Amino acid sequence: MSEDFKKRITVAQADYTKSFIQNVFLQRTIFFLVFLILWQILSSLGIYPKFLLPSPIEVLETMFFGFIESDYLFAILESFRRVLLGYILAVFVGIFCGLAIARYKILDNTIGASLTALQSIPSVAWVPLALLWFGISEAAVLFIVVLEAFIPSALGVRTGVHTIPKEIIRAAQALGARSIDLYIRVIFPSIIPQLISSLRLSWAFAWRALIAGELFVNGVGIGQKLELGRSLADMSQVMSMIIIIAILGYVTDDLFFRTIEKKVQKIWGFNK
Amino acid sequence: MTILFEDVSLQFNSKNIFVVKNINLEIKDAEFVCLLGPSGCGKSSLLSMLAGFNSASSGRILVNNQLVKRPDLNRTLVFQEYALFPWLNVIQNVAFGLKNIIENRDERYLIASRYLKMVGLLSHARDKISELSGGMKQRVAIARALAVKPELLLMDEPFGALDEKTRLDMQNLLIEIWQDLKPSVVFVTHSIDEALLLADRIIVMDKNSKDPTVIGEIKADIKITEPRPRTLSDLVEIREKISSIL
Repeated sequence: MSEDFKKRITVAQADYTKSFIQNVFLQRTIFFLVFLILWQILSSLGIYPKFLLPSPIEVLETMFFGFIESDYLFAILESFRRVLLGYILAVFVGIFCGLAIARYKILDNTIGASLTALQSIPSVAWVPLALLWFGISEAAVLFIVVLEAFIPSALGVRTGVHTIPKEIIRAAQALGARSIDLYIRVIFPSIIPQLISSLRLSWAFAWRALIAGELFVNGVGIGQKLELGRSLADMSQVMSMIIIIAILGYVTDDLFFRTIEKKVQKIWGFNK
Repeated sequence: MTILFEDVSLQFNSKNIFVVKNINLEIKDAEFVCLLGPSGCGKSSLLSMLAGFNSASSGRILVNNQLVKRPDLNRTLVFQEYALFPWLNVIQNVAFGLKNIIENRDERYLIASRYLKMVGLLSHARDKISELSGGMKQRVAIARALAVKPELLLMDEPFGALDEKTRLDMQNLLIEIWQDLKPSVVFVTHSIDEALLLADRIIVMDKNSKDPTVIGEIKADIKITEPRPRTLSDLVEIREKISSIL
């Protein structure tokens, strides 16, 4: 074997190892496996009582029976319905609000400035207020969701409108697009990439606010299941719910929003 | 289309600084005029007043004896950065301005495709904007601006972002189209050679050195009668004359 050939084989092997390590799916799988194994070991060592640290297998069991024999699926669907309702409301309010503050300087100076302050309030802080105003009801949860989720949309729309290149607007105006026509045919489509990112953020906020709200409100939902788990000292249910929240969050964000976002960025021509 | 600047001044944010002051200028029908000068001497400001985006602080601008008040389909623009609409494909971009003139969509597309053919992009009618090169984008922008049959085409350093070769191609294409359709053209550039190759008339602008309250002024108004296509070697004298001014 020539030196050159040996060298090439070494390089090929190194490349293979590299691509193996760089395979994202593999990285994640190994990470979670290691995590589960450590968890299993820690739990079976018996340092912590079972009701504080169930093993991953027990949690999986709870989840499995929760779906086939209890109402986990119903709870998830209920939560989804609630968050979707709040989210849609929030997005409408947010887009309208964003367009208004982008258009009128005085609104930006007043409402626009307060939005940033409002955004710094965690959703849990609104719970007492919502409960007093709306009672222990779904309306209270919706209130919190809308209040949290409309802000990223509003701020995103404002930024989107402000960053439309002046030439785009001018070209459109010279070609006869005015007032409403200009909004529908140019301003709105121009902000879509920014809007998608904001909608994604709004969704994350809505989801957080929903769980915060549901913890305090009667009915069926993921938040209520969490709270029920706590009051029954059923840690495996608590953990099941946390895992379900994480999975749902990942699926909607990464698979749904990220996919749309990438597609839009490609069409609009700013894919990185 | 005849254009008349009568004592036009543009003030800078209400302060006592003028971008340009007391500009008088007459541009004849079908004339190709270049506004030539370095950055920040008021070329683009004149253009944007003419388009109707900024109003003059004093004086008036008349287009076909009508006061310019706001943008109009009769005066369309081509920008350096193309300003195409990325959510629309090529032919939809070109047909954009026709929406308010022609009801029928097929008819709009028919007209748009005529202009696409003129700029040599008919085979790219359904392409996404993000798939085009810089030169192709600028062709689309020119087709879009022309499709509404403007009498005046306003071009703000349209070829400034293109490489040398593409730039030459585009200049030739523009002259061809202009000779065919004969709109008036006001073309802003800072390249002497570009102005020499294109214009019937070069308005040379520069920073004002005498009056500290005025930023830019017109230094010279030079007619070029040399027939097209031109080569720069035919224009050495004029070139030197302009170089000595700037």
